[in-house]
Amino acid sequence: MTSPAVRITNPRTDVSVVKTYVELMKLRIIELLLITTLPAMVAAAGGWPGSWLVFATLLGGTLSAAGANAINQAIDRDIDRLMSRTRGRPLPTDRVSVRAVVVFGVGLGVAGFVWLWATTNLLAATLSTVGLLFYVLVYSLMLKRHTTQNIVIGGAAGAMPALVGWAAVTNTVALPAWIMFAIVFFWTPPHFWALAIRYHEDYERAGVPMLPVVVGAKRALDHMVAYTVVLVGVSLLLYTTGVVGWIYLAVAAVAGVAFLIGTWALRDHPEAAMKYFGYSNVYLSVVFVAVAADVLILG
Amino acid sequence: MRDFTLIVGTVVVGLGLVLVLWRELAGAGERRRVGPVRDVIEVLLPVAATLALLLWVWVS
Repeated sequence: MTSPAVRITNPRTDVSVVKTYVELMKLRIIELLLITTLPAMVAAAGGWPGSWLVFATLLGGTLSAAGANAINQAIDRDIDRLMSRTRGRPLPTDRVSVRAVVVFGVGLGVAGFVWLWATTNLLAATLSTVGLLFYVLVYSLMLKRHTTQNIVIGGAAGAMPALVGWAAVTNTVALPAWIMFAIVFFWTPPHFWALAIRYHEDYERAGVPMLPVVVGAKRALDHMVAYTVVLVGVSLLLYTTGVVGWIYLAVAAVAGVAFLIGTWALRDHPEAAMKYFGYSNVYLSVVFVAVAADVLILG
Repeated sequence: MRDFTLIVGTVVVGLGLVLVLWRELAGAGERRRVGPVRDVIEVLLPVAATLALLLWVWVS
């Protein structure tokens, strides 16, 4: 007589399940998206746009971005297993099913659209959902594994929150909003290519043609310098629209020159790529905080 | 001051776009891509969009 088989299960507590789903949302990346949304709202309103509208817009943006992040992890589950940076994520570690992740992601996206439509307006809701769809359909499915331009074009998804923030306040998308969109758009390539320089072997193993993997770090840094020059120029153009004043101009000029010097210096010290990656986050935050500070201080 | 910034900003953006085109198109042949036409479009699309944005800034 054989003893009944003892089934050893992985005890999953409610806390660990919640933690897994929170992890799928990649909230740390969303922080940066929200940093661009709020200043865009302040600039659009010419002052504080109202606490309820800010809360509603930031929550809606978070839902859309979290949905995009979750669906993206379902699409990239095969390559995430190959990369040391991502192999600890919920899907590569089999903590959750693909189906559950897709349902979760789509649910968040739909909730984001409905919430933004109900609390702000249809334009903001649509723009937020366009950002999600662009990230999933254009970046993740069409570009990421096929072209070195993946992160350049894909940067449009990450830049969308600036448009959402402006639209939530004005129900339009005016020139200053598009300039803020362009700031994030041209900030994206140097930011993510620095990450690709650091995790070069990961991307190569996964077959993702990030520019530094395909042409090497040295030549990719030439591209990073070029995009940073455009970024600095575009950031100055926001001042010409009249929505921000001299405080923004001074901060954008000094931070821009410093960022350009940092990009140039990375050519001789590519081993400092992650330090530069962190600095690029600081640069974007400083520029957008300057937008809000300028409007709130100078009126 | 705004006119001066407009000129400086435009020159810097223009310089940057020239650098982008130079670097992107010079190395186009050695990069992995689905097809050459798509690759050129992918490079030119952001450049064209930025030029349109510049034009909008100037006429507004």
